Amino acid sequence: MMNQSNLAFKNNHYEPEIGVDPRDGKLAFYYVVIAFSAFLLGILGGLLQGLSRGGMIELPSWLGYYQILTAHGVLLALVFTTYIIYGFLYAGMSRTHGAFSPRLRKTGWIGFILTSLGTGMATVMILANEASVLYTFYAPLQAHYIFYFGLVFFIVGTWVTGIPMLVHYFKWKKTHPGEPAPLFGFMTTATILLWIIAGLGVAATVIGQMIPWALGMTDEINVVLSRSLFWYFGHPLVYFWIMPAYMVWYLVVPKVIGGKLFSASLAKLAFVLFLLFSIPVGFHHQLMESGISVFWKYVQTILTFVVVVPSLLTAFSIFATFEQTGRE
Amino acid sequence: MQHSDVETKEATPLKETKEHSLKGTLYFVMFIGSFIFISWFVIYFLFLSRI
Amino acid sequence: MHLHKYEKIWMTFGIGSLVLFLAVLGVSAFAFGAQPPSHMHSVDSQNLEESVFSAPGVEQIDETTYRARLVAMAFGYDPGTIEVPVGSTVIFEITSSDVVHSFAIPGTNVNLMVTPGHVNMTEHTFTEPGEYLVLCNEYCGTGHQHMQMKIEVTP
Repeated sequence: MMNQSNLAFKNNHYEPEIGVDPRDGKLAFYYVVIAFSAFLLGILGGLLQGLSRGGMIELPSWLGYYQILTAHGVLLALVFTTYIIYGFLYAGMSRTHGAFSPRLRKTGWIGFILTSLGTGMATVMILANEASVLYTFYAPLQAHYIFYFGLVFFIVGTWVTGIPMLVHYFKWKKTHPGEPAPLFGFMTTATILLWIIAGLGVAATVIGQMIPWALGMTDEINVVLSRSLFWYFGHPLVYFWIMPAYMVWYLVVPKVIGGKLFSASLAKLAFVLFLLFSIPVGFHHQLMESGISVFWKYVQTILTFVVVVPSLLTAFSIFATFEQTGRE
Repeated sequence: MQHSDVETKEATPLKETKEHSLKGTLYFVMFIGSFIFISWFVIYFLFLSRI
Repeated sequence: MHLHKYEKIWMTFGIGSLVLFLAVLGVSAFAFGAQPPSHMHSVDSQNLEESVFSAPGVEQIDETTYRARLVAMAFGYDPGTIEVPVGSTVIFEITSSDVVHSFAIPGTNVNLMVTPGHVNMTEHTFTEPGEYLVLCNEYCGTGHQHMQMKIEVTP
C-alpha cells in the first residue's frame, strides 16, 4: 500500500512531523476553554429565547428577551468563533512551524488577556442590561460606554495575538530558504491578515464614533457611515469563520481519510482570492438602504458574486480529494 | 527525503491528477451547481411575480 | 497551475452562471428600472416638524397615484393606518425620527431600511383589495416585535 505515489503525496503537505509544544498548547487550550464556555452560555441563551417565544416559559422581569438575544449573538458569533479559531490557528502554527519563541508566545498571551478583558467587559454590560443592542450594535441604539471599550479591547487583543502568528510564519520562511512553507502557515497568514484588515472598520466606528457619543462628547452620530464601517467588518467576519473551516477541509480532512490534498496551488489561490475580495464587499448588507447610489450597489453585487469563485474551487477540490482517496 | 521531494513537487500533482478518474467529483459539483442555478432563478421569478 | 479537465468544465459552468446572474440583474436594474430603494435625500431627524414630514399621511398625486409620507419611530409608524383604493400605485417616502427601522410588506417586494437622517423611497401597485400588514424587520429596541402598521386597500 505504501507505494511510490503515496510517499509523494505525503510530502506534498510539506508538514514536518512534530507535535504541539506544551507551552503553546497551553495558550491554545485556554482559547478553546473560553470558546466552549461562551458556547455553553450562548446556547443556553438560545434555548431560553426559544422557550419564551414558544410561550412555554415566561422570562423573569429582570431578564429581557433582547438582552438574551444580544448575549446569544455576541457569545456565539463573536466570542465562540474568535476563540476557537485562535486556538486552532495557534496550535496549528506550533504544530506545523515548530514552537513559538518565548517572546512571541508572551505577545500571544498579552493579546489573549486583552481579548478576554474585553470579552468580560462586554459580557458584564450585556448581563447588566446596559447593552441590549444585538451583536450588530447599530447606532443610534446606544450601549454603555464600557461595552464599547470592551469591543475595542477584544479587537485589539486579537490583533496582538495575530501578530506573533504572522511573525512565526515569516521567520520560518526566512530560516528555510527555498523550501515550500507549510500550507497551514500560508492559510493562517491569509486568515489573520483578513481579520486585521476587517477589524479596522469596526475599530474606526467604535473608537471614532460610538465611544465619543456614548461618553456624551458628541450628541449625534452618522448612522449610515457607522453601518458601512460595521459591515466593512461584518461581512469579512464570515470569511474569518469560513477560512478555518476550509483549512480543516483542505488540510485535516485529507489526513483523516488517509488521502492527499487535491492541489496545493489551487488551495493557495482560493485563500488569496478570499483575502482580496473580502475587503470591499460589506456594502451588500446595505442594499435596501437610502444614501447609497444604485451604481455602487451594483458594483458591490458584482464583487460579492466574485467571492463565490474560491468556494467553487474549494467544492471541486474537496470532492476530488475524497474521490482520489476512494479510488486508491 | 525532504530535499528530493521539493525538487519533484512541481511535477507530481500533474502526474497524480491523471491517475484516477474524477467523474464522481464532476457529478457532485454539477449537482450542487445546478441546485444553486435553479434556486437563483426560482427566487428571481418570485421577485418578478411580486412586482 | 494545472487545472484538471473536469475542473475546467466546473469553473466554466460556475463563473458562467455568475456572469449570467449579474447580466440578468444588470439588465433588470438599468434597463427596466427594478432597483433597490436608494433614495438620496436627507432630512434633519431632530426637526421633522419643519420638514415635509410635518404632517405624515397620504396625498393623491394623480388619478391612480398616491404619495404616502410616513415616519417610523419606536415602536410604530405615523400614521398607523393608511387607506388607498385598489389598483393605485403608492409612492412611499419614509424616514425615522429616532433609530434604524425597516418597512416591509410581507408577500410583496416592498422592503427597505429606514435610517434616521435619510429619506427612503419605494413604490408598489396594490392590485388586490384587503388589509396589508407592514412590519419593522430591523431590531429597534425592546418593543420591536410590536412595531407595525396597516394599509387598507379598498375595493
